[in-house]
Amino acid sequence: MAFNEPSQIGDFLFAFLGILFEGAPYILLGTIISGFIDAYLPSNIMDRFLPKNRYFAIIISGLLGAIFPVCECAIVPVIRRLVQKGLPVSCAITYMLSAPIVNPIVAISTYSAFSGDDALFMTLSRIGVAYFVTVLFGFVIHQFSVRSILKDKLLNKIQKAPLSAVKDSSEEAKLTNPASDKLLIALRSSSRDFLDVGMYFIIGVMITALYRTQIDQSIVDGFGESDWVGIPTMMILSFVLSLCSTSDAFIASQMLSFSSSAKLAFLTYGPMMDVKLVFMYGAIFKPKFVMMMAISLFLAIAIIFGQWGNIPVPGT
Amino acid sequence: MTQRLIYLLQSFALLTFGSVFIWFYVQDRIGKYLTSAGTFQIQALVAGMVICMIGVFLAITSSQKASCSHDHDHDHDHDHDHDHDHHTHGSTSLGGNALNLLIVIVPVLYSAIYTPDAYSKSWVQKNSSYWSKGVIGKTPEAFNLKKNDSPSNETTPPEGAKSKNSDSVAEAAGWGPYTIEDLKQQVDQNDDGEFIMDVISIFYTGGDDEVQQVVKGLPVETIGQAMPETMRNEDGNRIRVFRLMMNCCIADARPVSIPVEFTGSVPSYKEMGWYKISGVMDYENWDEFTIPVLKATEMLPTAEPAESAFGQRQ
Repeated sequence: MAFNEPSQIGDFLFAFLGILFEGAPYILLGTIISGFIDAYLPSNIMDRFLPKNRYFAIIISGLLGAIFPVCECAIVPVIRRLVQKGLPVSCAITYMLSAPIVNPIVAISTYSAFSGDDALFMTLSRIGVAYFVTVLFGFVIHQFSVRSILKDKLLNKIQKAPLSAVKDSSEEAKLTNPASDKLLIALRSSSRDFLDVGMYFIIGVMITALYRTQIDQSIVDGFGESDWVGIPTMMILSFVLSLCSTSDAFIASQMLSFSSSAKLAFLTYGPMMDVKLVFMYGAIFKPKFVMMMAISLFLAIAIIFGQWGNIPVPGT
Repeated sequence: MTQRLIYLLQSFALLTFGSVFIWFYVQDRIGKYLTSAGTFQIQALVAGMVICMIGVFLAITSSQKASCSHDHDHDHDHDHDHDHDHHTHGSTSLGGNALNLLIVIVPVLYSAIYTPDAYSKSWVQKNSSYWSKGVIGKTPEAFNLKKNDSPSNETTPPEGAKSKNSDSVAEAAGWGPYTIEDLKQQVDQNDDGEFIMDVISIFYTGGDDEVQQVVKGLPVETIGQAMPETMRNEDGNRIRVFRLMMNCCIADARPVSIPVEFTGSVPSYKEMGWYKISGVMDYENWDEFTIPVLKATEMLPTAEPAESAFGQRQ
């Protein structure tokens, strides 16, 4: 059953491979980092480096993307491993949500995409609101029980962590396993993470490819007339399109029928929550929590950018 | 034994997965999926190679046990009659792993084997809502005719020089008026003196009055895919030629098109076929938009270019 002539199924396969080729290198990067974290990073070391005050730690976590820029595909396996290594869940989620936006690569691409069209305002608004929302979300998450957030499998591993932490901190200096074992552990962890997260990624990519090839994309143009409709429409679009945060600004900048507020909502919500991410988050978080996260981030971002139109843009 | 089998299965999955990336790169097909701008294509190749290397490493070391310094939970919910090296943080069940690997491998292999490497006519029609307007990027600075290797390849004017109220970005940037000499420096000409411009460059000339004044009436050669013209074609002597423009990957691509007008009737052509078209540039006002129209003198079938879709003009 070869599709020598392009067909609708062929369109799907074509788009599917395109997204796969684009996204998989980042998943690989993330899983290699996570594998090496597993093998080389002692448990609870992240907690040791972060401020003791949890709220201050969350504020710092929201800025970690500026130092360790990771896109939304790569961050999921990294976060899973960091949580296992003792990074507080509230800090981990704050970092996970903010890093794909609050990082220099995204700042440059956003500025470039909106060049000549309030680029600085768009860039600062995107990064500023993303940081604010993720830190706020981190504060809220801090009030939650970890049991209600993490999947049981992951939770079981964390509950064993205190023992590991004691052992790691006391015996760190006299680790006996040779370097080759560490490398073996790292690569085995990486491959397992790649296949685990890759499964969720592929399911998400299939749904995204289906949407992009089988649905008339122009139907959304009609929703751009007012922010009341335009902002949620763009956020839903960002959820379904599952674009990479490093390039989504180039697409948003061309959506002429939508306001700047709607474009900013698109650029802020998409890297935090999209179809493929929902499946990838499923590897770490409980489904109820993923749903709660999707809805609350949606509402927070929609409300903020709903008011954004009233803010005077410098220079206009 | 079970654990070793799992490693071997994972190794097979990684080798298959990585090979697809390398295969598409080696066959020069990756350019149909990823833009040549940036490092996307090379990233795909490197990723394929690294995945394969990890796969090989996993296979070679499948029987090796690793010692480590940290604790492991032993509360598996299955019998413990197998040997493992305590580093199976994920699922250790053979069935679970097999299902996981199937979900990863089957869609990738199926797509790699059966992909047509191109979009269908219906996709192009469905995604051509901008044909009527003729303009995707409203900002005239998106216009870019310049050669990549041109020393003056600055498409973005200096910051602070831009003005939304300026008639021309070039004027705002203090570049001076755009002339035919600028065009000659920026665009190659064929042996017949025709300017070799891609469809997207022609399309973007509609965004700058100054450039239009220079380009209007000039002989131009372009390559694109042909489709019927469905708008403002009362005399039936027009077709559309389009090229795909993508930001990162083909999934975000959109067709960018211009009308092509013939003096007599439209010669027979294959829809979605590739054609080299020579003609003279003209412009028409469609509502508030300026649409470039190529008045064709010749249209010949041609091979699909290596880079069938262009990267975003930045």
